[in-house]
Amino acid sequence: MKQLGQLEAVVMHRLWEWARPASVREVLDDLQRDRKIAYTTVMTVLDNLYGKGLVSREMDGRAYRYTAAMSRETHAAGLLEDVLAQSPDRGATLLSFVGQLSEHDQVQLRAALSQLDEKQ
Amino acid sequence: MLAPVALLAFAALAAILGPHLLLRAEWVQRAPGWGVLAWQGLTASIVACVALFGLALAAPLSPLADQLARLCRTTTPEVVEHYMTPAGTWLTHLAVLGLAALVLRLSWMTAATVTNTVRGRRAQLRLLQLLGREHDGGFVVIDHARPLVYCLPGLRQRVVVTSAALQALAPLELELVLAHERSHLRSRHDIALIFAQVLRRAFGPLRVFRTAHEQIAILVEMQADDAARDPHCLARALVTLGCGAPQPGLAAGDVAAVARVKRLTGPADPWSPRTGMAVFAGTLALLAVPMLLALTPMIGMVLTGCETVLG
Repeated sequence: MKQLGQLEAVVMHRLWEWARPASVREVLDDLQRDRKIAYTTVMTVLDNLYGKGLVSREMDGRAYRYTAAMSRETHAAGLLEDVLAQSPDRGATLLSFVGQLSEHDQVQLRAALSQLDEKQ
Repeated sequence: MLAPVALLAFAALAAILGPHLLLRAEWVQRAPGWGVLAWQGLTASIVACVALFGLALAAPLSPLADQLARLCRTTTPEVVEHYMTPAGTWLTHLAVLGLAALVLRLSWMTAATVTNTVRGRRAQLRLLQLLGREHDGGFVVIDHARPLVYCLPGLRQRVVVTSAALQALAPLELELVLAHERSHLRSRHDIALIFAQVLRRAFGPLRVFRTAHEQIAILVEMQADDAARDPHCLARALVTLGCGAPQPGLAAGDVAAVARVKRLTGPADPWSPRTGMAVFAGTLALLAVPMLLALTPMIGMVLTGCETVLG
């Protein structure tokens, strides 16, 4: 199962890189340069990704052509939404180093730090 | 009759006085680990009071009374006599229902909170695998314009640093921030936070549980800050990352950050082990008092002598 996850990551990276619809065959040919992998495996991976909503697909002749559903940046932004959201009911899913400071606090703290640097 | 009333009174006192004292106590921020223990002791004590309140009212009920009689080496009728209230048996039955409800609520909240947390972490890990790349420093890097650093506790722990944070931080600052995050993972601060969150959700309307959760969240950050060998440099990193993603019009941001920077850049106050022992003793006392209060009727009986047994 973990291996499949790694493969999903590799396939997504290809799709993001190419930024155009790709067929199973195209992805397979590219992946086979680095590893031994079967057509059915790539097909399963792309099917899983489609099921998870990470890729979209359209029929092109007899085969599907897959595209990444969201850009890498949008994905990253989605991932980090949890981190940025400062809810009072703080869960322990993750622990953020620091939240965003208000403008007032930014000014105050920057001043305090520069005072400290001067003293040293 | 005395025991249930005393328990409620103590719970109310603890719920009102406790936060008042802890929020103003100097030592709490000086030794945040002890501060967390104090807050945990306070909330646990209040929960114990509520549970024992129910148990005291339910004591006259036969299986409970038998157990208590065996425990205090007396007879069941003695227990019933000392714990029965003027209200009679309907109150004892109500108390049993109340206790069952309490146990169910706490169990349900714990299960729900843990499930949510695990699910959230799993989702994060899946996306990290997709978007992140392993860095030599032992953390995961994600390409993102905003400088952020966070950690994912649990069995599959990760420390995550965005590419913007990697650029914004000096090498020493990065090292200190990583030490802070790893301290969270080592100390399992997430478990303390989960407990505090469960109590907050279970006893929602009581302000003390909300305050305790907020304060514990702040204190674990301070405790992790102490893992840094250069507090001034860590303070700089705090400000760098805190100013990272400008959000104009953000009225109140991370309030704890200001306290943390002040603490890191202020004079290092000495911490005496005697204060630590006092806190430990205080916490034990907080937990022991409800037990004693619940048993006062039995103590009273022992003092008046076993007249009923003899005569």
